[in-house]
Amino acid sequence: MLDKKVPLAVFISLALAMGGCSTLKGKKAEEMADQNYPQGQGVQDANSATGADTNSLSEQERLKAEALAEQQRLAEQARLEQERLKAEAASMLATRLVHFDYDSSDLSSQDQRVLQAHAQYLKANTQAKVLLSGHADERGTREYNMALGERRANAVQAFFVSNGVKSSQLDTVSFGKEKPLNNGSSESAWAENRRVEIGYQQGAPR
Amino acid sequence: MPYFRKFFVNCLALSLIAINSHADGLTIDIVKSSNNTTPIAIVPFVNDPASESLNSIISDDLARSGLFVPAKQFPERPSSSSEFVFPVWQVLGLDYVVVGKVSPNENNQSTIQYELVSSSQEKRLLGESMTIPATRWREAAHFISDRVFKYITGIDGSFSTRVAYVLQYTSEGKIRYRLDIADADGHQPRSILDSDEPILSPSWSPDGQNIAYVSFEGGKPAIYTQNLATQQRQIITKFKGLNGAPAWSPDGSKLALTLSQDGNPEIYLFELANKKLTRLTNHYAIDTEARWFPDGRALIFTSDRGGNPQIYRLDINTQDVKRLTFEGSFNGRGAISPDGRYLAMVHRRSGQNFQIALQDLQTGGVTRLTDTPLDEAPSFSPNSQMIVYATKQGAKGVLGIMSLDGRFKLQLPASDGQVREPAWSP
Repeated sequence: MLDKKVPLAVFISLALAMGGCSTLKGKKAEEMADQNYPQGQGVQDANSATGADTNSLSEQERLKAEALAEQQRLAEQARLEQERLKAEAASMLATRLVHFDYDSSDLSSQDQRVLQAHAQYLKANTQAKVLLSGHADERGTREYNMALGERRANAVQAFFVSNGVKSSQLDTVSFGKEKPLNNGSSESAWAENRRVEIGYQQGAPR
Repeated sequence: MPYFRKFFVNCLALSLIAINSHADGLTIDIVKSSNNTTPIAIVPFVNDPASESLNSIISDDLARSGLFVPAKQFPERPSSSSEFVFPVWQVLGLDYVVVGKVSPNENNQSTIQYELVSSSQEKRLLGESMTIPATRWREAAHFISDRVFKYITGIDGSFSTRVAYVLQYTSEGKIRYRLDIADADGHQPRSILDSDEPILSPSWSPDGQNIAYVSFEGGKPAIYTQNLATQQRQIITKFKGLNGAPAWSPDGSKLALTLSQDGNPEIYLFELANKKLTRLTNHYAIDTEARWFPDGRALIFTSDRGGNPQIYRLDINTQDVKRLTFEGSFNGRGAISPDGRYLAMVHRRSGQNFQIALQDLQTGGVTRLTDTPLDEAPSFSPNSQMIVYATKQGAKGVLGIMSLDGRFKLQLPASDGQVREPAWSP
């Protein structure tokens, strides 16, 4: 899946890049050390040079190690952020219902976020198809509620289309008040029933 | 009747007799109950089998009309007018008495004789005899109810008519739907469609031979007609979007229906002979639930073009639209009485209740007929005297029948499941 590959790829390339930089830096330092101290001088000279170099070398090692740790920390943060976004997207995609106020077909901002996730998924997976089924609560008459359910399904369809989803991937139906999720007659039962269901007919997110 | 009331009636009757005996002849004023109903006695027919007796079917019919109060006790049980001791009836103020007898015939048939007798006039008013097979027993009772009703009130009876309705039931854990047709008293239901998807909006053809309805078989709504003799079905429309609210025209040639193929729900006419489709409304609001005026020249329909759902009149020829309902925040699923006088509808004023209300088409006055929370789908009897509607008994969907003033209400025998969407036959 696209979502999985991206952060992994980012991590890998980041890691390689940083690993590469460290290697390069290390090499340069050694070369410079060799150049400053010509070959063939007295063993003592060589030894004292090595002693001074050992201190700066340790310092360089320490700096190198710190830089590496910092980069790893950043990489880890990026990875965690990617994981969080992935989990949020998965949760949005797992949400297959949006809800409505009485006699309304307006979408709340939370519902729009859910629908955005589905829109992105549908655009990335053009073989996927959804059936949007619109529903109403039990109040009012049956055929009027058929029309209300259709208005709601159409609102979701319009949102998808305006976000770039191909209309060939979308289908709608209204069941009015014929298929309630909750058979009660309370405000909360009614709120549960005023909905559009996003039903993947094929290519559903796993 | 409680003892003191009987005593009072007796005294009243006696005093009336006393007064009138001074005048020429013996005329007794019929003691009517305060609700303008007529007392009547349907005496058990002699030789009538105990279950589903003719007199109980006839009594229930007449009571259901809201115009009669059948007596529960009888001073004697004559089987014909010649066996009457008239004073014992006169003293109780029971003028109209129906009596009869049943005689078995060869071929498993029965001969039923009945008479409508006036105890005040001390004579028989009406009487007939019929020979029927056992299968037509209830039909015979309803026939007698129609005859008695017409004789006394002058109005055609609607007791031999039928009601179509949708039943939602559960079978092997799954929800299923049936379109049933029963007698107008709820008895003898038979199923004409059985489906795993919803059925809505049955509508009778004016000759009573066909029914149109919406079926979701296959997952999307389509409008069908079905012939009740052959059970043959025809798809009328199956467009993208809504296919809903079919309503047969009074002359039988067209269906009004709701389609949203043009982008939003509009009212269309479908001509059955040539399948021609004509769009009648043109508005971005929801327009649906069309029903006919009895002269076939106009429709009523539900629209939220004014902000919330109300009922409008649509002229078929000019396509002019005129709003009819102005009281309440919701008015929908209207039905015009066959005599053209009233609009019955689902109505909501303050609060949550969706009630059946009646609007006088001449005066505009609105009367609420029910006070239960969620009533729908009012449908008039062909004689405009009664309304059948969908209501709830607790959580269970049942059908109610009421007189036009709402005073007499009865629930039809409940089937196993949720009953709704009644349509009274022509």
